[in-house]
Amino acid sequence: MTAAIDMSNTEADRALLRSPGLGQFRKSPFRLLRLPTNATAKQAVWQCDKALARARVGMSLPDPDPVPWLPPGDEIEIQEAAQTMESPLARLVEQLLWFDVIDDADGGALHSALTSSDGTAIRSYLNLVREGAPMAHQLNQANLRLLVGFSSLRESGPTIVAAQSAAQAAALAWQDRGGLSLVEDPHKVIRATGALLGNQSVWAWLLGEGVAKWGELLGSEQFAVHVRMKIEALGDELLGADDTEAVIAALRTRLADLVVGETKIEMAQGRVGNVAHLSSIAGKSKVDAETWLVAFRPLKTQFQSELAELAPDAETGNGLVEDVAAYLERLSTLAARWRPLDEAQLLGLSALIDEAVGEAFGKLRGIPREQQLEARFKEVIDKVGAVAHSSSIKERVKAYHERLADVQKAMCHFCGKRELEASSCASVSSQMETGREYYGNTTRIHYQVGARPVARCLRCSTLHHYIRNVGTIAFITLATAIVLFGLIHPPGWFKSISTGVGIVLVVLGVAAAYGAGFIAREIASSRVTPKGERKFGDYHGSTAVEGLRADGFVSMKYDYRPNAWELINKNGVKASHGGGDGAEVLKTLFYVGLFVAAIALKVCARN
Amino acid sequence: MSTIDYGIDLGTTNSALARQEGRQQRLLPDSDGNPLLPSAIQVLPTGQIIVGAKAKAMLDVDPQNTSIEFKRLMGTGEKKRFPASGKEYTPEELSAEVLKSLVERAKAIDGEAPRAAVITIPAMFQLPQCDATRRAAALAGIEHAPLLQEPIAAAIAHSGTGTVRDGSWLVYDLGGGTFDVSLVRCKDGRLQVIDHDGDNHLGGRDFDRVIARKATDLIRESKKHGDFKRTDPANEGAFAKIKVEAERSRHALSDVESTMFSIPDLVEFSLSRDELEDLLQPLVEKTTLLCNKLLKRNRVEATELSGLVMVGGPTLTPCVAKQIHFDVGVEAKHYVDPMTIVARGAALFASTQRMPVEMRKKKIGAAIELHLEYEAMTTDPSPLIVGKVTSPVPPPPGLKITVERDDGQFKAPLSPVQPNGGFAVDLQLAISQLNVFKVGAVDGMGNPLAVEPDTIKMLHGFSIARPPLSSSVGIMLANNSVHWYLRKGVVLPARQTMTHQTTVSLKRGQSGEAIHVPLVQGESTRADRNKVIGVLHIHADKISRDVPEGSTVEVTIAVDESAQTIGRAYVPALDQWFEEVVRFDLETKPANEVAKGLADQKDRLKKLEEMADQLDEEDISSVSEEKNDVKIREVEALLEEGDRDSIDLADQMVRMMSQDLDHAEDGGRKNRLATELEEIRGRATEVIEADGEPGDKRQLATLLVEADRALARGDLDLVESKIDDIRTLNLTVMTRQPWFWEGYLAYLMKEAERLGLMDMTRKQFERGVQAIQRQDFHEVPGVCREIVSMFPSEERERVSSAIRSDVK
Repeated sequence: MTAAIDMSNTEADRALLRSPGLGQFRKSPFRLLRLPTNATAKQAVWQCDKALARARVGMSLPDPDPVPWLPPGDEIEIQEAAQTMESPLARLVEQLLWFDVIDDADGGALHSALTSSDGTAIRSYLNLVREGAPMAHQLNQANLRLLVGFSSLRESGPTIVAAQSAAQAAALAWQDRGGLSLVEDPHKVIRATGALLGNQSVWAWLLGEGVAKWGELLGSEQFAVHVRMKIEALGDELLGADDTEAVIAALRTRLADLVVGETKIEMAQGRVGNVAHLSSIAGKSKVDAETWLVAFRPLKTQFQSELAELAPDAETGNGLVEDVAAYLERLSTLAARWRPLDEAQLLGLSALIDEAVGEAFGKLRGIPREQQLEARFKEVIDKVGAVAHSSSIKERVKAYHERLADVQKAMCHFCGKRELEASSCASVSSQMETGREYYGNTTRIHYQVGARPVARCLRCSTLHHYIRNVGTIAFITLATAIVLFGLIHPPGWFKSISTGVGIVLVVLGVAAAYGAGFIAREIASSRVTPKGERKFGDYHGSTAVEGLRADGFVSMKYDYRPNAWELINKNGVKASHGGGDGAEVLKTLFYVGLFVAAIALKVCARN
Repeated sequence: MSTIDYGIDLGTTNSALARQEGRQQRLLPDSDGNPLLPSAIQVLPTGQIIVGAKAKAMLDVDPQNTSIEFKRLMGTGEKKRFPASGKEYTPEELSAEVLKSLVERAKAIDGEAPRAAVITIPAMFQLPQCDATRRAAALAGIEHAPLLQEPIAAAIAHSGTGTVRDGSWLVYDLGGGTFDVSLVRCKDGRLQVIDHDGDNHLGGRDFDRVIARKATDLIRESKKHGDFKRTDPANEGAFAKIKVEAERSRHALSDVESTMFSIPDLVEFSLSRDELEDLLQPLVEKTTLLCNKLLKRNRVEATELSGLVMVGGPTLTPCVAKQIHFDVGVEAKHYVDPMTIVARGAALFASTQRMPVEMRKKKIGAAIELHLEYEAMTTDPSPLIVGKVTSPVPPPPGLKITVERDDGQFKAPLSPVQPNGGFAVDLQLAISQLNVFKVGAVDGMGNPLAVEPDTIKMLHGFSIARPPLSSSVGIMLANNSVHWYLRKGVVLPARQTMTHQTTVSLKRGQSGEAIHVPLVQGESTRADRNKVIGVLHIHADKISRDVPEGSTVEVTIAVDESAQTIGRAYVPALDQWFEEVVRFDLETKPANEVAKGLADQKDRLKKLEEMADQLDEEDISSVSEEKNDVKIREVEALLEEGDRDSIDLADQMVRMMSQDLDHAEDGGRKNRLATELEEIRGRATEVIEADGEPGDKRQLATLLVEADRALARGDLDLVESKIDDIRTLNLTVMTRQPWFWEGYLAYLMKEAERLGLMDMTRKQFERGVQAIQRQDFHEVPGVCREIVSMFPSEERERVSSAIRSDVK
């Protein structure tokens, strides 16, 4: 016989055939072979032969179908059913997921309700609440909820909750106990809630109860005892009492696979509401999270591809910060859509979002430091924290903010964009009197000196050096011109002026040269200092000045030479005041020269 | 004849044909009375094909025009060229010649060539190999050829002949080219294959190979024949002679203690049984390892077994039974002739297989034609026979069916035929006997009518469960994972429908394959560890209109008992079915690719050896140096041999090695991650508490909480990611500390010294040391980076990763 594939199914049939949840009941060997739960493997094989023989000539088994609203099995499924019955572990799993009408006192009613597809009778069985009911009854209750739940999800089978029953179910009996009003039968509340939800959510309610009930059973010692009894009853040497845990594990996995299988179909159909219901059912069951995580793992790839569609590398044309901001916005929308789907975090969607957020965060961290200090960057970083699900990412964002604030402190005081460089810092120094000692005519004054670096980057240091040079050159040039003019002025000039006036003129000339240097610096500074940055002499708001002030210093001496702070480190505060580099030497020489020139002028004037 | 009755064992070395007659099987011998037909072909310059012993005898005389062991290449695209005739044949064409020869034999004995026969295949045969066997049967004129796994055939022959043997058994089938082991159970006359395992590239041929390798080593040592390369065409004859002599020596040592391995002018040495056992021990150990694995997987103790049935010629080698007893702890016996047991079992099975209706001989003049359905072998004492009147339609009114056992002890009540022609009759069988029933019909007036068929046979007391699939079938996904359709052990026939989404939009009229997904067979969750056996494909020209990306495609794959595979796809958006979407194409890798795979595994092995303390006991054994060295040497030797079969075997060994290493890597992942988490927790807490900023401390605390929670939930991927995050945080904090860079610079200095790079990097080190001396820790990282960039590229990654391993 070839394994034929029936292509004649309608779309509705295919939906039922595809459903893993319904498949559990549709393909149950006990259904296909019309066997009681205590049937032997031998009976199953014999019954299979009969069923196959009948099926091949278009006849069905004479016994009624226990779940008539489900499509019948084909030849392959009948054969599979018989083989399942021959494998003791697989058979026991199927047996426990089927209806045991022998050991359940209400089994007869259940059987007739199912075979007749009588929704009212099924509801009546569902409403049976028996204290200390035998395990068979508890299993039947759980299994019936699964069957009816899956059937409702696929819009097949009898209607269990009619509109009028909602009102009946809602009519609850209340008791007064010590001033508290209590519902006599709390299960009714759930049933009423389910009824009032409307048919759309009936499946979720029934399935939720079924899965939850199974979750409870799988964790109970009573159920383990029941499984051991069933193993013993099978009497197969391939399955012993020590296989109890294997049977329970197989049931746990099967249950998870059924729910996940339905979830996959709902996802493919785009019914996100149902996906949310199913994942919530999984989350609320007492089946351990690990089982669910493993079962849900294959679905993750579908979400991953949806995530990939968000195009993390798409460019807005407004720079990387805006690209990331736009991506985070898309991610946030997706996260909001996914959140209800995975409240129990079994699908791992939050981890997927966090992974994407982490990557976006990584990109932001790679942005140049100067851009990171802009307000927009901070906004985007905040968005990272807002979209992220895990606390650790939120903490990481928070810590990053703190580090940025620290970095900001360590940024160049002048441009505010680049980190300071120790060798390029300017300095402010100060001194304050701490006491006086009098020794006769001598007074010894004690000072405390203090100095701090004014944070400066290499670029600003270079810029300041340039500005300084412009001023110095302007000063030297003008001063030299004045001196030279004094020495080689046209005869007859200044004859009528006295020496005193001559000296005053020279001093004024030097002062003018000095002023010209100052003006040249200011002009150069305003030309070369980028907009928004502090000018070379604007050290007043620096942390260094604030620090010195906080320490009690008042007057500040600012040194903006390129290595000002290094010089302080090297020579101490006082020494630094006099300078010492080449420019300073030139300046000193210039003053000496000026003095000589003044004398020369005086001599000239006498002559 | 309503049942097939003929069974063929199409073996790698020998083939045989048997026919079921009543409860007995009859082997059909050749004219010399030999039931075995060597699976050897010689093609003469005229193009005439010689099959069997005569061809085998020519192997060392005319090796280029003689072919043996072509079964091992079934399903591959390899062709064997016979230069004398200039002809080329595929492995299935060569197999077809062997089958034709057997069919001729049946014709000579029974007077009629069988049109249908059960053909046996190794249990571990992959689907394309099964497909190729079916094609070979068709080429040989066998119109209907159900395939049966060899160990099942052996188990049937063992359990179903004479007294039915109840209990659990291991069927150890070591053939010429393949090894299969099956755990079978016979309970109340029902034979069931519980599970099986095997190796498609292990058999008597490999026994001969190790003997031949010893001979070639001696020839090479003598240096009389140069380097004696197999790839040298001049040596082809010599190698063929060695092969023949190796087989002869092995056979001889089954009876005598010592023999001479002698090829005049080439090599001569004495080989004792003890030496042979030493040579074969690693190969036999491979088989016993698989036996033990099978028992362990099914939680069966050796003491619970009723015995071990040995099948196949190579099991006659004395050391095999001894080694099995020693390793598995169960006595290994030949209950039935190991050379013909498979053919016998195939014949017995064939007697349960009904001939297709169209191939049955029809009785001339039968008034009523029936289509009957029943199980020819059953343990049910009261089975049901169901039928339908196929002619005339509709059946005459008042028609009733009569069934009577030929011993006269049972007569079924008259069964009325329903208007649709259907009827069902309950039978009573004579227990543990072959029951023959006469079938008849009476019309409304009670007049008997001739029916076709008019007899049916049912054997009571023994029945056979359907065979399980030997290895899982699935499709390869883009991320190298596998989406399984049918899992190993699923009972055949089996079928599975899966829904996929298209990843590209499909345009009507576009050329080529619109959907192309590799089909794999194996057990690894990593697709590339399995064998690619073909593709699932839909041709674009068959699409009736455009299909957007993300559309649903429902693919159904069905495999029947004969491993015949059917694949169909349905695209709901088109409401269109696509047939024959499975195309088999067994992957064969070139030698260089296998060698590359081997090199990769060597690297992995090295890494795993380094982390042996984190592995489970079982995993440690799979990374044991000694064990893997043997495997590596074996693969290298096979690659050197260079023929297709050797390369395939090498490829398989590399895959198995990869799977063992995968297992070792994956095994105890949870424990490993828990240990890793504890380690990083201790280290990071120490560093971050001491040197971290408040933000770092908060981050560490939340990360640890999240990692613990993920571990408790068993979300190991998340645990791994959190461990990575903690490690990164730890590293970030460390790289902010002067001591870290001081340590790293010292480490780099040591490495530079070791690699002799001190002269080249001296300046940078001096700068680094000076920077540390003046406490300028801004400069040190840059210096370190400069130094690392001066390292050779292969060392660069290692010294950089030292940062990750938290070098202080």
